[in-house]
Amino acid sequence: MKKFSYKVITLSLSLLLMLGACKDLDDLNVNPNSPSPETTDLNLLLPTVITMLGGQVVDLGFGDLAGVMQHMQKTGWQSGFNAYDWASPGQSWTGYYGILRNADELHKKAVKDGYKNHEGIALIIRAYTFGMIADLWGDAPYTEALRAEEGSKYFTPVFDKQQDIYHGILAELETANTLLAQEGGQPINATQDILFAGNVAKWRKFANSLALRYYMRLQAKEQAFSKAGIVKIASDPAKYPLITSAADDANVSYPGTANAAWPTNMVFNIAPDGEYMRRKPASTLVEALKSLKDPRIAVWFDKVPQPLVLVPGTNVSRASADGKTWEISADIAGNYETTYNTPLNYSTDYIGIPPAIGGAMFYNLQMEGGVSGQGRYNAHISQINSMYKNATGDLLKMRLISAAEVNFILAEAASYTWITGAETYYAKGIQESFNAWGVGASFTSYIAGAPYNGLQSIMKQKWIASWSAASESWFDWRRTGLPVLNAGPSAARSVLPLRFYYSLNDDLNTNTDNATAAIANLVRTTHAGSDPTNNSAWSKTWLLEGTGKPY
Amino acid sequence: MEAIYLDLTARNDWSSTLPAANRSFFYPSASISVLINEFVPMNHVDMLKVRAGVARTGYDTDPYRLLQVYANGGNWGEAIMLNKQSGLLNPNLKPEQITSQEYGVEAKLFGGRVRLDGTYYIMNDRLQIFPVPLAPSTGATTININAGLLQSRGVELMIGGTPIKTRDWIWDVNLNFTQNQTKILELADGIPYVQPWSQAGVVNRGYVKGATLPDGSIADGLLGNLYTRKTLRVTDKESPYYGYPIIPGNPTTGNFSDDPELTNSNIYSKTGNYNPKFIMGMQSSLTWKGFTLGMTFDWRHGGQFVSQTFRYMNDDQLTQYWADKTVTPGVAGGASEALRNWVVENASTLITPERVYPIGGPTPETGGFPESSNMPFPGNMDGVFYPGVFGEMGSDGRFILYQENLGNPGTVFEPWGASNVWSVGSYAVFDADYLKLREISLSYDLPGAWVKKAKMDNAYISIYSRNIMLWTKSGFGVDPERAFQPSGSGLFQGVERYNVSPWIVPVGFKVGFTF
Repeated sequence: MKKFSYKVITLSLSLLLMLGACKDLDDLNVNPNSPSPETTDLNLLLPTVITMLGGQVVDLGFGDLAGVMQHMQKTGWQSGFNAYDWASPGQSWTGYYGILRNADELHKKAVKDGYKNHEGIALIIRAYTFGMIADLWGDAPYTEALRAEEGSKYFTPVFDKQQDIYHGILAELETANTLLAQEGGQPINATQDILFAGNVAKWRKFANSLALRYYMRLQAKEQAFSKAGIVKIASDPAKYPLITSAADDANVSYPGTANAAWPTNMVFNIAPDGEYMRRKPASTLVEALKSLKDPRIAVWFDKVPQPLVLVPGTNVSRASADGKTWEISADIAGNYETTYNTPLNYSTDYIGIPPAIGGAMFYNLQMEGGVSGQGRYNAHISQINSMYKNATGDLLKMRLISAAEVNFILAEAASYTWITGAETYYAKGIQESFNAWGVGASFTSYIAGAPYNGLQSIMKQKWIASWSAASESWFDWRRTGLPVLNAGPSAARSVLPLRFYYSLNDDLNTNTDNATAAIANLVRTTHAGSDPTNNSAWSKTWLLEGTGKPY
Repeated sequence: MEAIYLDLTARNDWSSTLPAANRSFFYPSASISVLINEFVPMNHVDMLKVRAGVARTGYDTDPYRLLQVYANGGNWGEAIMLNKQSGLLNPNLKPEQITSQEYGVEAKLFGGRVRLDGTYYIMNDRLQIFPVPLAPSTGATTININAGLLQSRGVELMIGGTPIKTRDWIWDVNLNFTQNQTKILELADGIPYVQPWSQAGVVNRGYVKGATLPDGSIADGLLGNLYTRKTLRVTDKESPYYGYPIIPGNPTTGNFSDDPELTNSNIYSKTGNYNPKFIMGMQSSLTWKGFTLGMTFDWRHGGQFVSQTFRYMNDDQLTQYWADKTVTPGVAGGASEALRNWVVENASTLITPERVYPIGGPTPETGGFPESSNMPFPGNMDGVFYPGVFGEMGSDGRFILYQENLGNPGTVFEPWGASNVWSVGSYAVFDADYLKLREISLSYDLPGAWVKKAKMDNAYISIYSRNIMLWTKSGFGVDPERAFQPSGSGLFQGVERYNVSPWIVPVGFKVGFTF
C-alpha cells in the first residue's frame, strides 16, 4: 500500500511539473535568433526598400532596357538584351512585389506608431514600385495585392486596371507630399536613410517629382488629367517642391562591399566574360553623342584601344609596330563584311555595336588578335567606361529620378503650351545632366550645338540623359515614338517591344484566372507574331491603346 | 502454447513547437499476430505467422515555425537591412496525423530452406505541414499550411531460400520487392497544387486526384509527377501544319533570332513521375568450404528523372547523345524542295513526336548546312534546322503561316553547337530504369582449428568491389540513382546534377576477427 501511494505522488508531481512547463511553452516559440516585427525599429526596413527598389531600377536601366533603348549591346548571353527574346517564361515580378511586401510592412508600422515621415516614405516607395509594375506589365494586382496574411480570400488577388493603378499611385503621392509637409514628425534615422540621410524636404521633392513623371505618363491617353496635374505641380513650387538641381537627385551610392557593389563590377566577379565585358556601347548612342560632340561620351565609354587600319597586301591581320592599331588588308575586310553583312568601322575614337546584328560578339573583327567567345574583350571597338568595373565610385549610382528628368518633363509640358519656358527647361535639363555626370563646365559650349528644337530635341536629350537608368526613356519612346529607333536584324521582331510578358511562373501559374482575364484586356498588334496569347511584348496596354504610338 | 500475441500502446505528446490550442496529440496502436502452425500442423512448415496492425502517429514541426520574424539582409555601408521574408509562417499549425494499417504473413518452410515475408500497408497522412506556392502579387511566395490527405499503399515482399546445401556447398539467395504509390486525395481549399521543386524547366507538382489540369486532363493525384511546358505547336486542326512546332521570329521581315529553335507552350502537361513502379533487390551468397562469393543486385523499374547534367553538358555540346540524335538529312545538297518533301513525308518521326531533334550535323560530312546570316559564323558548314513553321496563331484560332522551316529554300540554319533546346523541359527528362551489380565480394574464413587456437570465434579475409556493372535505360552515361541522392544544393527528388566526375569503382580488402 505504501509503495502504491509513492507511485501516485511521483506521477502527480511530474504532471504538475509538466503543466508548469506548458505555461512557458508559448515563450519558447519566440525565436531568439531573429528580430520580431513587434519590437523592431522601423528605420531598419528603410535601406531594405531603398536598395531593393534601386536594384530593380539599375537592373532594368543598365540591363535589358538599355539594350532596347540602344544605349548598349551585349556580346554574350544577349538574346534578351539585344533581341527582346523575352517570351518564355516572361519577366518575373516577384522582385517587385518583394519590394512592396517590405514597403507595406514599413507603411503598417509607420501608421501604427504614428510616424508620419516614414509613412510618406513608404507611400513613395510603394507608388514608385506599383508605377513600374503598371508601366512594365499593364494591369496588375493593386487593391487586393499584398494581403496574403489576411487569409485565403486574398491568395488570388484580382488584377486592377492599369489606369486605376496610375490614378491610385498619384493619390498616394499626393498623400505622401502632405504627410512629409507636416511639422514635428518623428525624425528619419539619417544612417538608415541611405537615399537622403534623413532630409525630409528631399523626400518631399522626390514624391512630387515622381507625381510629375506619372502625370506626364498619361499625356497621350488622358490629356486633360495629365495637363491639370502638371500645371498644379509646376505652378505651386511652395506646395509641390521638385528636384530641380542635380544635388537633389534621388541617387543611392554603393558602399562597395560584396553584397553592396555596382552590379557589373569585376572586383568580386573577375570572369573575363562577366557582366561588364558582355556590355558594349551601342552604335546608336555613340553616334548621337559624337555628332553632338557630347562630353558625356568620355564619362560613359572608353576610346577604341586598337582601331582598325586598312593596309595594302593580302591576308594581312596584325598589330601595328607600335601596337596602337590593328592592320588588315582589303581581302580580310571584304570577307568580314560579306559574311556578316555589316560594314567595318575604322573610327579612331569611339565605336559602338549596331543594334541586334548577327555575330555581335565578333563585331569589327573582334576575333583578330582577341580571345574569341561570348562576352569577351573586343580591342577594335569601345568598351563601357572602365569605372563600371569598380565596386563603388562617385558616378556609380542607383538613379531613381533626376533633376534632368524633371526639367525635361517641364520642357515637354511647355512644348504643349501647358506651362511656359520650354527652351529654358530644356537647357536646364541638359545642364543638370552635365552636372550630374561631372562635366558641368562644358555646358555653355555644348548648348550652342544642341539648340532647342521642339519635342524631338527634348526626347533626344532625355534619352541621352537616361544613361544607366534607361527604363524611363523606353516609357517615353512608347508614348511619343521618340527618339526614332529601329530594331536590328536579329531582333525577335522588326520593331521595338511595348511591354513585359506576364511571367508564366508568377501569377499566371498561381492566380491563373485573374491573370488570364488581364491578358484578354491586352490589345494585340500585328507584331505579336508567334506569341500564342495576347500576353505579348508587342501587345498594347491601356496606356497605349488607341494612341497610335509608337506604331 | 504461445500462439497469439496482442500488443496495445497508447501515447500522448505535447509539443512546444505547436500553438497552445493544437499542442496535444494522442496516438494509440494495436497489433495482433497469430502463429497458424501452432493450430494446424503442416508438413514442411516450420513457422507460419499472420499479423495485422493499426497505428496512429502524430508529428509536430520544427521550432520557430509559428511567429513571423525579420531576416537580416546584411549591411549597406553603415545601414542595417532587415526584411520581411517571402515565406509566410502560420500561427495555427496543427500536428500531422498518420494512421496506418498493415497486414503481413511470414513463413519458414523446409527447415528454414525457404523463407517468406510479405507486407501490405495503407497509410493515411492527414494535415501534413508543407509550404504551398502563392502568387507573388499576394506579397508572399509560400505559406505553410496543414493540408489534405495523402494516401500511400504499398507491398513489401521478401523471398529467401537456400537452394543448395551440402557439406561443401551452400548457396543462399534473397529476393526483395517493394512497391509504393502515394496519392493526394484532398488538399486545402484554394490551393490547386503543391510544388516541392522547380528545376530545369520541369516542375514536381502534386495535384489532388480528380482535379482538372491546365491542359484539360484529369489528375491522377500521384506524388512525384513531373510536368513540363511542352513544345509550342500549331493548334489549328484545319491547318496543314497542325502539330508542327512554331519557331519564333519572322524571316520574311528579316527578323529571326540567332537561336531559332523550339520554344515552349504556356501550358504544363505531365511528362513523367520520378517514383519507380517497383524496386527489386537480389542478394546471393555462394559458399564453398571456407570461401564465400557474395553479390548484390538492384533493379529499379519505371519512373523518370531529370538530368541537369545532360541539360548543361548538352548546352555546351559535350554529349555524344546529341550528336547521335541529330538527324542526318535524307536529301543531300542543302535547302531544296526535295529536302522539304522528305521532311514532310517523315513528319511522324521528324516533326510530330514530343521530342523533335535538329536536322543537319556539326560538319559537312554529317550533313551540316551553311549557317544563315544573323548567325555567329554565316556560311560555316555546321548548320542545322528544327523542322517547323514560322507563323502565328490568329485571334480566330487559325494558324497564319509566314514561312515554312522544313528544309525548303529560306529555311534558317543555326549552328549545331547552339541547337540544345533549353526552354522545353521534357528534353531533360529520361527513364530512370537501371540494373546494378552493386557489390561483389569474395571472403575466406580462416580454418576453425587455427581460429580456436588464437582464442577467436571467427576470422576472415575478404576482397570486395562496388558499382561493377550498370545498365540504364536512358543510356547516356549518367547513373539515374544519383537523382535520388542529395547533391550540390541539396536533394530534389528526381533531379541529378553535377555528375561529370568519372565513375568510381572502389576495390577494398577487409580482414575481420571476432573474439
